[in-house]
Amino acid sequence: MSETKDISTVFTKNRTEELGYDVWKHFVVPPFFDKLDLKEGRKPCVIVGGRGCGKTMLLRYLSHQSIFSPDRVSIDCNAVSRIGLYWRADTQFARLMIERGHEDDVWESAFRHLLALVLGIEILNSILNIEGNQPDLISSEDIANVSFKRLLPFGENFDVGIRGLIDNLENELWEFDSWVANARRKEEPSFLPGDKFLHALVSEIQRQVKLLENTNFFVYVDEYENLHEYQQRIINTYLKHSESPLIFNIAMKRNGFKTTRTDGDESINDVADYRVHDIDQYLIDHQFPIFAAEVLYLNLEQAGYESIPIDCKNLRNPESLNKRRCNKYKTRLINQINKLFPGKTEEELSKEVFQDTTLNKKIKKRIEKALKSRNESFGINDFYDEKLPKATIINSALLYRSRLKPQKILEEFNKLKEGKDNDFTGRTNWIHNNFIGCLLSLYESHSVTCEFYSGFETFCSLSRGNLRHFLELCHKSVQSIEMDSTDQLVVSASNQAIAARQTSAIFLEEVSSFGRFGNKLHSFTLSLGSLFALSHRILAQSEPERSHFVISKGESLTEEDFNLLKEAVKWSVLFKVEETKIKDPSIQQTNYEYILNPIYSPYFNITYRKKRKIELKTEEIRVLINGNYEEKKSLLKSYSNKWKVSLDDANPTLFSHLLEEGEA
Amino acid sequence: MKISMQCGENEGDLHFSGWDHAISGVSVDDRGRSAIKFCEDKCVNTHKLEYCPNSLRIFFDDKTYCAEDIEELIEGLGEGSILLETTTLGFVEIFLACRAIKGMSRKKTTLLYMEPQDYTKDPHKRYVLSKRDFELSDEIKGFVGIPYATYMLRKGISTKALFLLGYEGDRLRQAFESLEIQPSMCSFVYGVPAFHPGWEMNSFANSVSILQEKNAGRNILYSGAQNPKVAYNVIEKIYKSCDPSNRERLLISPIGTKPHAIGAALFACEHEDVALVYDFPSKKTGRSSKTSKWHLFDIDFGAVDEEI
Repeated sequence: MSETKDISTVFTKNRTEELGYDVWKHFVVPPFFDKLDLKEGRKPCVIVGGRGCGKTMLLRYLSHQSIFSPDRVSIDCNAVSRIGLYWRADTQFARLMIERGHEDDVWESAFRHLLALVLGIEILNSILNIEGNQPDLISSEDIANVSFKRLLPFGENFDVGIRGLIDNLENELWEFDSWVANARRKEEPSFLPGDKFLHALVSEIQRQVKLLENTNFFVYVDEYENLHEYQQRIINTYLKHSESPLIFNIAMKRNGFKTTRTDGDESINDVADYRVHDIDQYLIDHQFPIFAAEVLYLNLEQAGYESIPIDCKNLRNPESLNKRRCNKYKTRLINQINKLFPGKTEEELSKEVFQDTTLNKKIKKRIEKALKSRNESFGINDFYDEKLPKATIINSALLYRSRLKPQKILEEFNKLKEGKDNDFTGRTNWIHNNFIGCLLSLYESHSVTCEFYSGFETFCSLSRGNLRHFLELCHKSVQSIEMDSTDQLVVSASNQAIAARQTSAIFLEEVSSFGRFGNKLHSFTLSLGSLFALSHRILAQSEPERSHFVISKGESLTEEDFNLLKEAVKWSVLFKVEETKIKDPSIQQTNYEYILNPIYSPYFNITYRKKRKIELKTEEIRVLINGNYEEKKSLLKSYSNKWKVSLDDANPTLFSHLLEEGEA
Repeated sequence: MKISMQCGENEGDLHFSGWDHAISGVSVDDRGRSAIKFCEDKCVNTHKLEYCPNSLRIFFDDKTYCAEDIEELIEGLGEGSILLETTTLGFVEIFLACRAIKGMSRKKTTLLYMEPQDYTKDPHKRYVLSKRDFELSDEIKGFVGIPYATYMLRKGISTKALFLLGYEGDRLRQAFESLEIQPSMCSFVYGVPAFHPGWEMNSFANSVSILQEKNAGRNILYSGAQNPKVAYNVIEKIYKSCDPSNRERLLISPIGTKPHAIGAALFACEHEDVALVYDFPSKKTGRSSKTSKWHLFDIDFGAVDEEI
């Protein structure tokens, strides 16, 4: 049982920043790794992805601290042909590098100087790191006599060896720190000319260390989106003019470019100057579940769990990707992880409903109410049959559809009982189209969480390519882990569902810390989620499982409104996807759909599947974005009236505000 | 530096003889309006000061200047006494003004602070999320360094971070998101005793999950919410624990009560090697209601306080 204790804390460090720079032990080579073209590629990369998709982990893996990690048993001697340098700008400091009595060109030179210092130190440290951790590749003799005499024009104290130059550049960095703090009062230091200095430094290293004469240094600038516009422009210039042996790459959230301009007249362009790698998309395209399962097992192995169905050493080795792609491997992996996080089939979910007295009563009450409102003389039991739980659950909604006569529903229900062709399962397939919507509507305001939110595949759907979300779902689940009869780890479906709800609430709360508009985004997410939740409560379930919206034709949204939507996409609160099938193009403003991040769905008790949309008018979107409390409340109330949603037994955490002052 | 403190239920309980100049900010609630009225009644001249984190400039009496020009502006007020109205002034304005006053020959100032009677709860949040969610800020600009008290957080240089915490847990979450700091190197100061009994529970409730999530709850400290002197001492304790042989440094982020922020500002005035970071929430109009206790803090940068 000691395993259990370890496992409950194994996922606590699910942010790469907390793992340090050498992530070798923790890294799983992602399935899209060969798409990055890291063997021969010289073209700069722009790595794009939402928060938690693994950008920083990837960048740190590509950097020298991980590639030449002391944890690596053997390293190919070709590894020195590419040396990665990771840099994340300290935004709080970089944001002070404007104005303050200095012209723009002073700050531009200062930023180039900063790049020269931090990247210069990083280049030199990478050599010492290889020498220290992998002396078979670079020995201390190889670098003992390196001297930077030729760099004297850049600094009078640069005529030293590698360690000496690191010290001198560090000292300049201290001086620079002090100058930025007192920029108005202190005389500016003598600025190094950015990439020119870096090229000269690399050239001097390559001239004197033969092993590195064909090495390319790849700079990875993380969190590029946080830089000032002029700082992005300087990085863009370096990226555009990247050539061996110094190549600049950047990583950012979606919509992270403040400018694509360079210092010259040109801009940087996709394909011509760089290749975009969309990590979110790659993960969705490349079987996220397999990757997620592998990451999970690596974490479990590191916690000391012994029954790992795969060889975790292969996960760190890019050469093993093909092995990991074979069907046998994938099937074994998925079978195992499904045992750890078992889900429920629709049949099982429907049976659960009938085992719960309250839900059972609710179905009967709904059927009874529907028949009464339609003045029908049928009895409840005509539409209620515990042997047909799915169809019975559907009946509790179908009877509210005015276009559908109870007589017709009854006929089809009887055909189903008799095993004849029917609309519940045939081409019309009411069950397929309506079951989850009807199920969720039953669980609304119910104290037990619906087990629809359980199962490994469900966790992958809720995470939508986001490893941090996936690991947090696992973390919360394994806190209540149990051993089955064979001493295997098993998390019950009900515990998973509870964990999903808790995780959802945690991530929803986090939205308010998403950048400068965090509070606004948080309020927007709450309102939008509440709207979808209302839609899920429509008794007739004529449009079940609505979890995304489109903007209907009409008055255009302002730039400010679009900026908030962009911000929501940047922080992955929403996913913006091009709509492939537009039923009626005349009613939509754009052909984009905005999907609420499925991680928030358990909180709102709504579907995580992308099924149906709501068409929102411009003014409604504007209320969701900018409206005050009263306006949002009024919008939600108008929809509850339109959809005839009764809020009498509504979830108190979601809808009590609509019931204030006895209004609803 | 010496800090002398007095506190009362209203201005009648405080001992003072008026000031030549008052420097205040913008009022957004009842106590702010009372504080500004006090300044107008008790001071010969009143001035407005506001810092803009986007342009790094200050507005002083409706004119704009570089933040660092505050030294000349305060020097320009002459040798007269100065009251800093800190209920309405932001944290950075307090730091810049105190630092400028420290550099003058006078080296003395008085700070006024009024406690709120209650904070406003957002009705939407009250029902939807948590009863303890208080919406005090509209837009949060993100963490930025402060002129005169900044350095770059970087690899290889160990940094201890100290957060003086208040109601808004999101601000701490954002700090972890945007600053390259190790949770294990962080200390957290709660305002205990709080302004009113029970209010400390709001601070705990809004940040405890973050501390748990980051496994960062080992270094928790307490300091009276209304006491800048104790806050100063607590900061000093952490400052002294930094290892100078490794050039270990201290980063302070006062995202809690104003008296705590005053303690942090005064500490940074006295220690040029610490860095300050602040996230500049735009304060919601009507964020608090009514006025509770009145405080006057007399600061003498030229004297020695044996309690500090």
